[in-house]
Amino acid sequence: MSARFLRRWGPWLLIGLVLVVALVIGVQRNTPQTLDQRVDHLAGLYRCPSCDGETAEESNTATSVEIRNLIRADLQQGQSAADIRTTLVADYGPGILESPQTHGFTLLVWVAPVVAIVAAIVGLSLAFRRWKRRLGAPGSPSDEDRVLVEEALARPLQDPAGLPEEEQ
Amino acid sequence: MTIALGNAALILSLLGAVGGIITLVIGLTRGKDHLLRTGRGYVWLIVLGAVVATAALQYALINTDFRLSYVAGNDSTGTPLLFRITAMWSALQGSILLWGLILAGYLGAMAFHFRKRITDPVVGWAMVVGYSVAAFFFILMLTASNPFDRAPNPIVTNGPGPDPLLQDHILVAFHPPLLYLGLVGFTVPFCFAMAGLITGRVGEGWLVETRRWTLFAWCFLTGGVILGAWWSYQVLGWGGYWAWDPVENVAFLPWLTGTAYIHSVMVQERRGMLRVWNLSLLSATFSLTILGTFLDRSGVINSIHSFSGGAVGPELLAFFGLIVAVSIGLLAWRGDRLRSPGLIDSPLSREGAFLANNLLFGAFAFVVLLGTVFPLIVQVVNGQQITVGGPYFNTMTMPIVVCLLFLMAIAPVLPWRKASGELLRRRLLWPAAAAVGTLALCVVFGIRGLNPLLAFGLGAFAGASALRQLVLATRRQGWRGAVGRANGGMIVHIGVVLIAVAFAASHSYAHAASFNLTPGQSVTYRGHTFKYLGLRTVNNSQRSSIEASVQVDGGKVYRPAVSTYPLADETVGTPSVASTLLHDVYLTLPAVPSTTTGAATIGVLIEPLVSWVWIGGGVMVVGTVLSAWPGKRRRRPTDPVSAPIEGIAAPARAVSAAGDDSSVGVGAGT
Amino acid sequence: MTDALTAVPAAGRRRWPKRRRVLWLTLIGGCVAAALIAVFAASPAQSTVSASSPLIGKAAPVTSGTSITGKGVTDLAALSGKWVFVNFFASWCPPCQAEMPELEQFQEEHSTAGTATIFGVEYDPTDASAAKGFLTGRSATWPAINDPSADVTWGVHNPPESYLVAPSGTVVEKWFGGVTAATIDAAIASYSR
Repeated sequence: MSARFLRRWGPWLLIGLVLVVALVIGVQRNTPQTLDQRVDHLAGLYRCPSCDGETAEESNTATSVEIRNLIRADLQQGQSAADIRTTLVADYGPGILESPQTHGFTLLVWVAPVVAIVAAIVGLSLAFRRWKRRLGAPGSPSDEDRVLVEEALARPLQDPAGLPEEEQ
Repeated sequence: MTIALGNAALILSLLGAVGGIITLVIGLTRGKDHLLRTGRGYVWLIVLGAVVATAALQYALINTDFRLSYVAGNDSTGTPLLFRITAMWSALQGSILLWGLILAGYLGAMAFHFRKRITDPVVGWAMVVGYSVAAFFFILMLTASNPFDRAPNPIVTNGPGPDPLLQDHILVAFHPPLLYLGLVGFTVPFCFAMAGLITGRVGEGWLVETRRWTLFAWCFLTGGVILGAWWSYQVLGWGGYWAWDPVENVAFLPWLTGTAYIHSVMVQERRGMLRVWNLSLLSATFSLTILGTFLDRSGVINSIHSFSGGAVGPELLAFFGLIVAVSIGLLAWRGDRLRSPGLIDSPLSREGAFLANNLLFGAFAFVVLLGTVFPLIVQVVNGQQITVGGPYFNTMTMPIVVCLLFLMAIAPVLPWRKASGELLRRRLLWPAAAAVGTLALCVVFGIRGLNPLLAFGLGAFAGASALRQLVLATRRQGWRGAVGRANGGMIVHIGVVLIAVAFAASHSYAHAASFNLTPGQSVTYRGHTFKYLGLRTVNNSQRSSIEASVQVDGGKVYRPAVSTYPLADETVGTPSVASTLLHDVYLTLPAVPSTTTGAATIGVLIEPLVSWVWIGGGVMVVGTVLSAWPGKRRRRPTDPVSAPIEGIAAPARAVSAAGDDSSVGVGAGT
Repeated sequence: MTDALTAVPAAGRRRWPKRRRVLWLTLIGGCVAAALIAVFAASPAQSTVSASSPLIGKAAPVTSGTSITGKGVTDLAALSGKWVFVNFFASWCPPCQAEMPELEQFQEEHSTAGTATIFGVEYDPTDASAAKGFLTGRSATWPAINDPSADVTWGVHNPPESYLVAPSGTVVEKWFGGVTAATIDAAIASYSR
C-alpha cells in the first residue's frame, strides 16, 4: 500500500472498521426477554377488541387484560407465538390481528409497496440510460447530432439560400 | 337573529364565489380586462361572508345560544370560555366553517399579492379555480353541514358540551387551526398548477413563484401535525404520540407529497425538467387534503380522532373525484406541451439526489395511503374486517426512513450536474467520522438493537452533514449563512434528524409498569421513586376529577386523574407527564380506586427523549421560516430575463445571472 | 434547426413521443383513482358494520366459573338440551341496563316449560361485586357466573353481546348490543325447524 493510498483511504478504512465492529456488537441482544416483555410484545400484535384503535398491550379494558392473561398462561405452558395466534384468530376472527396476515388477499398490502419501489427504480434507471444515450459518450456524437448530420448530408449540395459561396 | 345572520353570510360568500367565477370566466374567454379586475374584487365578498359567519357562530357559542342545533349539541354553560370558543372546530359543521374561513383568507391573500398581475390569464384562471373550491365548501355548508341549523323544539337549557377529550387541554386551541392553515394552504399552489395547465403556459416560472406559498403551507402543516401528536400524547393516556391512526395518516400524506414537491421543484428551477411530475405532485397534495377531509368525516374508518354526525361523505367523495378527474384530464390534454428539454447528467449529483428523494417520499406516501385504505378495499372485496395497524407501518416505513437519513447526509455535499468520488470522500469524512463515533458511543453505553442503532448512527451522519453546511455558510457569509433556501433547509434537516432519533429512542426503550400503592407507600422503578400520597376530588362547572397525587423523586407532585364530565355523561382518564430533556415519566390512573383511602393502581411509563420530538418540530418550523427569508437578489421567476435585478447595477449582469432560472435549453415558453 | 431537434428521431428505434407517454400515465393514474373512489363509495359506515362471529356453527366453548347471585348452575354444560341465551353483561353498561326488562320477560315466558333459559356471564371481572346487586335488584332469576377467560374464548368485544346456543350445544347466532324477548323467540323458532 502506497502512502498516497493510505492518505486517501486510511480514514475511511478506519471508519469502516469501527462501523462493522460496532454494528456486530450492537445487534446482539445481551439479555434474554423476560416473560413480561414477551407478553407485552405479543399483546402488541393484537387489537383491543373493545377500543377504537388501541392494541391489547396499551389498553386496560377487560378484554385486553384477558388477552394478556391468556398470552401469559399460554407462554408459561410452553406454547409458541404461532399457537397463540391460532387461538385468538379462532376466537375473534382475523380482525383481531393488528397487522394483516401474509397469506391470501392481504398479502397484497405487504407486496405492493415493494413492487412499486422496484418498478420506480427500474424506471429511473431506464431514464438515466436514455439520457446518457442522448448525451453520448464524451467526444462521440449523440443521437440527435447523428440525425442532423444525416439530414444535412441528404440535402442536395446546392447553394444554401442566402449563404455566400465562400462559406460553404 | 344569529341564525339568519349566519345563513346570510354563508349565502353572501357563495354568491361572491359564483359571481367571481362567472365574471372571471367571461373576462378570460373574451379577453376583457376590466372584468378580470372586477372578478378579483369578488374575493372580498367571500372573505366578508366567512368572517361574519364565524363571528356569528362564535357569538352563539360564547353566549351558549341553544337555539342553534350545533350549539345545543356541542356547548354547555359549564364549559370554560376557551373551550366554548374552540367548540367551533370540535365537531363537523363548525370545522367545515373553519376550513371555509381559512380558505377565504388564503384566496384574499392570493388576490392581494397578485393584484398587479390580475390581467394575466394565469392569475385569472387560478382565481377561478380558487373560487370553485370555495363555492364547493360554502354549498356544503349551506346544505349538508350547516352550522346554523335550528335546534328542534323544545329548546334545551343546557347542552353536553364538546367531547370531553376536546376540552381537556389548551392545545385544542392550536392544533386544528394550524393544521387547517397547512392543509388549506395547498389550495393556492394547486390553483396555479391548474391555471398553468388551462392556459398552456407551463414553461414559465409560475410554479416556481408559488413555491413560497407551498413552503408557507408546508410549514403550518408541519407545526399542525407535531402539535397534534403532542396533544394526543398529553391527553389520550396510552403514552404514545403517533399510532398510525387513519386520521393521523391522512394529515401526514399531504405533508409527504408536499415535501417531495419542495425538493423536486428545485430540479425544475435548475434544469427545466420534471414539469409533469411537479404538477402531479401539487394535484396529488391538494387531492389528498380533500381525501383526508372525506375519510375523517364520512364514518368509513374507525378512529378516535374522526368526526361523527352529519352526512357529508358522498359530497366530499364526489368533490374528490371531480378534482382528480380535472387534474388528470388537464395533464392528459396538455401532455404535448410538457415535453421538457432537460436531462440529468449523472445520478451522482444534486439532481439525482432530489430524484432519489422523490422516489423515497413517493414510496413513503404510497405505503401510508395503501395501509390506510386497505381495510376498506378488503371489506369491499371479500367482506372481511381487517386492521392495518402500527406494526405494518413501522415495518414498511423503517427502511424508507433509513434510506432518507442516508440521503439527507450525502445530498447537501453533492454538487449540481456531476460529482466525483474524490469530492464525496473529502466532504463526507467528518460527518462519517461523527456518525461512526456516535454509533460506537451508543454501543459502549449499552444500546442494543439494529433499528435504534441505525437511526442514531445515520441521524448523526445526516445531522453532521447539515451542520457542516451551516458552519461553512456562516463562516463565509456571517449571519446570512443561516438564512436563505439552502441554509434554512439544513436547519429543517436537523429538526428531522432530532425527530427521527427521538422516535427511535422512545419506541425502542420505553418501559412500562403498574403499581398498586396504598397512600404513603413508595416504590422505586428504573431509578425513580414514586410515592403515592392519596386521592383528592376536584369539582368545577366543567367536570369532576378524582386525582391521585404522586410525588416523583421526592420533588414535584403529579396528578394523573379520572375525570367525569356530567353533562356529556362520559369519563376520561387524564395522564400527567413529568418531562425532562432526557426522558418523560408518564403517569396514569387507569381506574378509580374502589375506596378513597385504599390502594390505587398507578401506571408508570418511562420513555426516553420524547421532548426532542417537540423540539425537533420547533426546529423544523424555525428552519422553514429562515429558508423563506428573501435573498439579496430579488427577481421574480416569471419576469422576463432582461428585467433588472435590484442591487445589481448593469443589465448585462442580469442576463448572465439568469443562467440558473426556469428553462434551460430551447428557450423559454415551451 | 429547431425542426430537427424536436422531430422524432429517424427510423431504427422505437421511442414513444412524450405526449403518448403522458397519456398512458394519466390513463393508468385515472383508473387507479377511479378504483379507489369506487371502493370508498361502496364502503359502509363503520357504525353500521357488525362483524360476524367465528363461533357460529361451532360447539359452544367450555364456560364455567363462580356464581354471581349464589344460586343456579355454574357451568354452561349443565344446561345442554335446552336453548341457552348466553348474555355477556356488565352493571355499568347502559344498553345492558336497558335490555334487562326484555330478558326478564323472556325468562318468565320460558321458566315453566324449561326448554330455554338465559345464562349470564360477567364481561368485566372487576365488576363482579356490583353485578350481584345489578341482577338481584332487578329480580333476575337466571344463573350468572364470573368466568374471566370467557370474554376471549367467546370473542366478545363490548357488552352487551349475546349468543344463542342450541340444545345440541352449537352456537347458532350472535347479537351485538341489546335484544328484545321477541328477537330471541324468533331466532329459536327459526333454528328449531
